[in-house]
Amino acid sequence: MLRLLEGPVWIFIGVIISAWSYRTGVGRFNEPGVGFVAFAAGLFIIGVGALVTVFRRPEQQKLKAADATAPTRFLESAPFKLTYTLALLLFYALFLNLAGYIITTFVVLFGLFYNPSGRRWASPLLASSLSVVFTYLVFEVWLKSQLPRGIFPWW
Amino acid sequence: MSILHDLLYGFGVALQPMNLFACFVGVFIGTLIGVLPGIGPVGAMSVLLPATFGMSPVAAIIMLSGIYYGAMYGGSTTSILVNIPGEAASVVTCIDGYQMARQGRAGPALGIAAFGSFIAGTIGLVGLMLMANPLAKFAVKFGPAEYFSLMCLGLSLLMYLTHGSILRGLLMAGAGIFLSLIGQDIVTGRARFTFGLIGLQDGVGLVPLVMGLFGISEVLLNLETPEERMVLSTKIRNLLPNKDDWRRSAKPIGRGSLVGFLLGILPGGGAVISSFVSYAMEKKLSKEPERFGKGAIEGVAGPEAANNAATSGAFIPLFSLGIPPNVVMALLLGALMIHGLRPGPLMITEHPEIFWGTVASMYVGNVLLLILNLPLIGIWVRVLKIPYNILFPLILLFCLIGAYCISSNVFDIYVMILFGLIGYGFRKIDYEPAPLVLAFVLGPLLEQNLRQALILSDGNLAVFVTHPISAVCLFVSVFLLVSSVIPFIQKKRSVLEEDS
Repeated sequence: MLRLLEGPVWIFIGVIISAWSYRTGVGRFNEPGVGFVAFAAGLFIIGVGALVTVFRRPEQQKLKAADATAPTRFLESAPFKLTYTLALLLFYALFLNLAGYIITTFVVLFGLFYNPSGRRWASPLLASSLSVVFTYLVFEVWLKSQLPRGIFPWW
Repeated sequence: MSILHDLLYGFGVALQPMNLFACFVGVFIGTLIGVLPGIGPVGAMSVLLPATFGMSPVAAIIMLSGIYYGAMYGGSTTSILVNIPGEAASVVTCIDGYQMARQGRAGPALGIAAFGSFIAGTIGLVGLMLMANPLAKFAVKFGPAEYFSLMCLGLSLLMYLTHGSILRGLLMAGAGIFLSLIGQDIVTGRARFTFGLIGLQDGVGLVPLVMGLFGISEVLLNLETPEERMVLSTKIRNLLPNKDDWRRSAKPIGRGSLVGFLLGILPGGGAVISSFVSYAMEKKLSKEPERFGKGAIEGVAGPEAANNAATSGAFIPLFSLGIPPNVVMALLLGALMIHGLRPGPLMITEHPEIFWGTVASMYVGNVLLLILNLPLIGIWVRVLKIPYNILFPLILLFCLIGAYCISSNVFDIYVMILFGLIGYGFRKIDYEPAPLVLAFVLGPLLEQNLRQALILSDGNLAVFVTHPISAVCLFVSVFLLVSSVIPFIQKKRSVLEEDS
């Protein structure tokens, strides 16, 4: 299905880029405007997208269909791992300024080190604590990066 | 004499304590990430780019370069001992290297990989010294039209030489150019394509983009398919290859160095292709081609030499023309620009400390790598046993810190996560992120030169074909693209005809 839509999706993207850059200002050949190159890039994408649509590869659909193998357990399945990791990354971005570097990094690292199917607490706790201390020393103390302190300014 | 004088000056720069330390850190990290499957030199360089902000530009470039060529050395270790390439350029080394290890000859395989890399790296450096400066002097004559056409040629060569579908490569390049245009216009200063977001006023950051496309997406893919790493429990002894090993390897190392260096100069060529070409060439030239795939030392020596020589060759277009021939060099170009330098024909004369300091540091780095990779091989074997579930949180943490530290702005983390997801999706449907990154880096230069050329010629498009250098570059670009698209179309047409 994804392969079928591949070309049209690119054409759509190209149309959006071209229309947007046209509105931004294409200018003339002797005085190219702000959107000149973007307009050309959009047209280029439309052209190549059309080629992809016309000459799409039917044989690859079969290949991808074989990829969909059933996971054994939900907590070990790829979709769960991906969603879980992405959720932790977003949590990091959301709470970094609010809770500060130390707390946010510790929580996210603990989540990443923690193996839901193994259910061990000690080693993830130790690994995340050590990682926070090490990176804090390297980036804040040594490299003088301004890591956010959050609601605990004395950290 | 002038080159010797300049080289001595370079050693004066490279041997300053801070630069020497940067070189050591670079090659050490390079070897480490080369050994560890899951993060390549691009990912590691992008993660560590913010850490170079506090350094001098020379130290920063020395360290980042060290990561690149260090990864080539380290990559062979995993190929030989685990049969998993630490990075893409070591894929070929798996074929005969692992077989040698299984036959109890891991020591000579690792030894010839390190010595071959050292010799090729040194030969490549001599080529770099001899070629970069004359090319830069020639490139001073280039105007906007020549630069625009040269960049088109660079992008076309990348499409032509990289694996995968050329149409997809073109689409990625188009997307990369558009992404590079987000932010303030270089001429008027007007904001464009920013979706009204203040975070995009300065454009999409190179580091979050590369970290997302290479670092985060790589981790997400690896989470999906965890690799089983079985390190061979063989004793590593006799690291020094014997007389017969040297006899068999000498010519492959020489040929690999030459091929690797020349392919490294070409945009899109780089270490990966040169290692494959070297392997194919050695097999073809061998009197006993049947030994290949069964533990032939030539199959290790040639490709390892080629991928290291290619790293030196890749610096030539970057330093002399300001055009990166591959993604790693694109990242180095980005690093130079972040440090306020503009690579191009004048860089070698205006900033000799950067060019000659980097060249000399590579000699020093090659020696350091020989020490790191031979006597200390045991340490790297232990590193190989670190499980991925310990490694990936640390990779993600460095990506998060790296993205934040660029401008102390959480927005860059969001950008990185977004491109991580996009990169993951692209890789799932066989889209290579490399053309996008290269086009992203070249985009602003391409736009600037195109607009300048058009304004100077009063909108006359013929300017691109009336200038001889520009015309040749454009002709070669069109030829490469057409010659690679036509067989694809013909093939698909015949498939469609058969189906109907």
